[in-house]
Amino acid sequence: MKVAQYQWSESLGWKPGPPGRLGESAQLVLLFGSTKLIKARTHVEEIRRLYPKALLFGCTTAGEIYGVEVADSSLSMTAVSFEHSSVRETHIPLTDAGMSHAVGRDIARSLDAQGLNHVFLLSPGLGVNGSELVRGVAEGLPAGVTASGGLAGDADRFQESYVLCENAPTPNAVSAIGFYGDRLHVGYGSGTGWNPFGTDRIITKSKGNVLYEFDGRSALTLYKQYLGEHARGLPATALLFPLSVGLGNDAQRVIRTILSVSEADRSMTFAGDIPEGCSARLMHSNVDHLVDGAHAAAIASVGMMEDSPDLAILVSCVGRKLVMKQRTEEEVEVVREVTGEKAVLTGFYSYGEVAPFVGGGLPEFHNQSMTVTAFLEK
Amino acid sequence: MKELQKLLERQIKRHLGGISNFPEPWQSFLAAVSEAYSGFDTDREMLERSLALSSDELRQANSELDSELEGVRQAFPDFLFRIYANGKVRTLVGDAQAVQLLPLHDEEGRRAKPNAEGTLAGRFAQAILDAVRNGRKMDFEYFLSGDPLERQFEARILPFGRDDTIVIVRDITQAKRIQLELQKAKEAAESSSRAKGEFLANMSHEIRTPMNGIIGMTGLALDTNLTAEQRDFLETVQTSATSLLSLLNDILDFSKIEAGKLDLDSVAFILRDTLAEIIKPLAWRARSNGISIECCVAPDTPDLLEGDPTRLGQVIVNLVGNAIKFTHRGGISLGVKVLQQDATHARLQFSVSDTGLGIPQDRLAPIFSAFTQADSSSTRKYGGTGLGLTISQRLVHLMGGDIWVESEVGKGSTFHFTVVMKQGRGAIDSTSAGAPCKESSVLDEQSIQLRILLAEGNPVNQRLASRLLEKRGHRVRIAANGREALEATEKGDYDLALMDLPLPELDGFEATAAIRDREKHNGAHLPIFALTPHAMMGDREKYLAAGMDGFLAVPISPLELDALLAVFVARRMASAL
Repeated sequence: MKVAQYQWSESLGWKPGPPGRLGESAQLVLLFGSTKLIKARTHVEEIRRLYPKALLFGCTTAGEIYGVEVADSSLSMTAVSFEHSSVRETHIPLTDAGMSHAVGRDIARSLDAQGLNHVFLLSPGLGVNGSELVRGVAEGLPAGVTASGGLAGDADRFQESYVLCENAPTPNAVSAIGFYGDRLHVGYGSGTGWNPFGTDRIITKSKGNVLYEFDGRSALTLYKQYLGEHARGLPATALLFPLSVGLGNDAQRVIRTILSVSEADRSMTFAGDIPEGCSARLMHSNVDHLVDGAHAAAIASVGMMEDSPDLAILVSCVGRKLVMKQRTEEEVEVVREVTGEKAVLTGFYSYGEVAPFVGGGLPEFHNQSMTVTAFLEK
Repeated sequence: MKELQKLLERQIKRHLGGISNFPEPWQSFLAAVSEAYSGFDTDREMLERSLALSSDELRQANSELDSELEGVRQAFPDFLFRIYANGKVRTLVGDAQAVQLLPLHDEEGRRAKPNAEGTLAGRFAQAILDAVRNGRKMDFEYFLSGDPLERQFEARILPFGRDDTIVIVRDITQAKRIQLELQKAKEAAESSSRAKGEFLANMSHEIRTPMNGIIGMTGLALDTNLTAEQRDFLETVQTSATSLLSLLNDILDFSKIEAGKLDLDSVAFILRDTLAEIIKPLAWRARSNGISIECCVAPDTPDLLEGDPTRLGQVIVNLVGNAIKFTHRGGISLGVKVLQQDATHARLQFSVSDTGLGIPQDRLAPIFSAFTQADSSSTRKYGGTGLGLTISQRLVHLMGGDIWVESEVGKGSTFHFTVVMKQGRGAIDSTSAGAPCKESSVLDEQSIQLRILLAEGNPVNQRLASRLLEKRGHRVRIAANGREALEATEKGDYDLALMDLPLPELDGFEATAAIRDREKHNGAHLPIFALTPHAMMGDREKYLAAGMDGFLAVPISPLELDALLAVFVARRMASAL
């Protein structure tokens, strides 16, 4: 596998120099960028011209990963040339969050199962029920194949997000890449680093992924109390207090992060299900814990292969970036320590992450996590 | 450039004299530092707010728990303590004095050491130690010495945490008092019931002796020369006395069983022979009711057994007797099969089926209870103490088995019972062993030939009636008119006379009167039954008044004829024994 990586920013232009390496041999170009740049199709025509045979695959983000750098308002572009593997792309419109499950199932089924090794998917970050989408994907995948990926982001604005479909930014479609070939080794892992605090709360009123009340009291009011003056920054600031939700028994808890709030009906929309009757606790974290979480994800991912990977796609949650601020890169650096210098790191800050809990497991929807998908061709 | 964080601004002013002197790269560096400063401030402020809010929430949750616990305390009638490993006691439920209810101290007022054999306090300390060591609940009952109220307590000791215990103390004085009273009442009731049982058993026995005298003497009196009226009276006395005796026997058995005084025999017997003997008298009764009895023993049923054949017979007689009572047409069958057997024991199942009235579903359950019949009206109609099935049930239980019934109203009932019998030792030597399935015809009654006088004027009726009788193996002498009948009875010895009423020369009434007249001199009594188409209840009195014993409706129903003949077959057999 050969990989060429470039970064573009308004102030510095292309880094490390003009793109073009690998040229016609590249089968895949990953492009992650700010909403503004992706929406304007900045450099898309140029990239198409330089890599005429490659599939262009990418989305808008809440931060672009280029090596160990995390940048905003940039483009992170990675061209991949496989020696023994091939890729196919597929995409399906998702016009209503209620379709999430069916779209997930259909997109997994639309990939030819013959020789399919792994699936990486990108979904819009808004107007989707991530849990349902991923449940659908898990249902539609052929046996023995799993998936990873993430939800597109929109910095900390939560207003619009786009996935590239046929070279065009599309606000309402899910896109997936199928990786084919048995010489491609894929590892994945996810880690969080959040800790619950305070009392257990019972979810007394919710519908799907929309939460209204804890213990008979408005959940939005509670969040506003905890945020104080930062309540002005909702919904982004609510990412500082994700929810730990117990689904049935204590052993199985998932982290849910907020996507939007509505003052009109005093509701909070989360990226995944918030079932009524379940218990929930607020969570908090600090940089050190989050870095530990990212480290665990990298260990799990690289641990699934015999050698250092050639390429790793990192999908990390916008909520983590909000906590780590200027120290965000520390969690990418710790991944680098695990993957080694050989691996090219790319990826983005997202509104939701997808990866199995354990090797060989079905894909799960995560919030507030770092997920690492590593590739090695051997 | 954005405003710098306050502390950073002050530091720069103090140490570097102000920001305006710095070149551009330094400006953006300072902006990043300022942002980090502010970030830390924000983080700390958020954490502090979270801590404060979370503490508030936890305190509120705690106070809710407290008030819940207070509610529980108010409602809790017992005292609750936590005893720590170091011996400290905390009262969880109860007032300040409550702790004095725990037997913690020796008489000298010292804290007791665990001692299973020692003082109350020592034993209590030992119980606590045991609860902790074994990790399970211990119950401990005690009085406190010197308690003016003489209360009794129960302490429930539950292990808690690593080495602590939770002790629940309950005042059980009242409960104990009630328990004691109940015990006394129960004993008094049992002793009184036993005394009554014994009295009843004695009384029954005392009554039985004179009753046997009455029956015996009546029997003897019936064998003497009597007028028809005297005979009728005495026969009534005999029937009544016999039925009274059977009631007394039931009551005696029942009271024996209730008093636990009924012991079973254990003797060797041959099952098939025993059954034949049991069935014989029942078959007569069934015959006289116009129904048949069939007895069927499965071939693999062991024949030589050890047990109490008399009590086994009693159960069968009871069940078959009931079946006869409640069956007006059809038949009764007794089936026997083996459920399981080994070298030493056999479990047998007996089933008595009838085609009788059947028992309604809602009356099935209590049918084995004492003094119960399926319908209280059946007591009036069919008599009996209502003890038969109860006695049968108790006997069956004593014989290691069970009894149950299946029934359908209008179709009949089947009573099943099982018993466990010891396998008899030695070779099976039974005449009936090779004949597993027998009808009631095994009984000798078929071979008994009655001598019957048929006084009938009509040749067609003569032929019909004599064929019916001869088919049943009886000898028939036909008298074509009243005079022939009179002559025939003078010369021959007949078991029974069937008398048509309109006869040439002497009619039936006149011939009967002449026969009875003659019998006044020789003391004999020829049973005479009128053959009459007027089968009506009122007529019976007329025939009896005329010296007859009863009547048979014509055209003759084979069933009624069988019933009538069975009585005389039985009488002949009885006299032959």
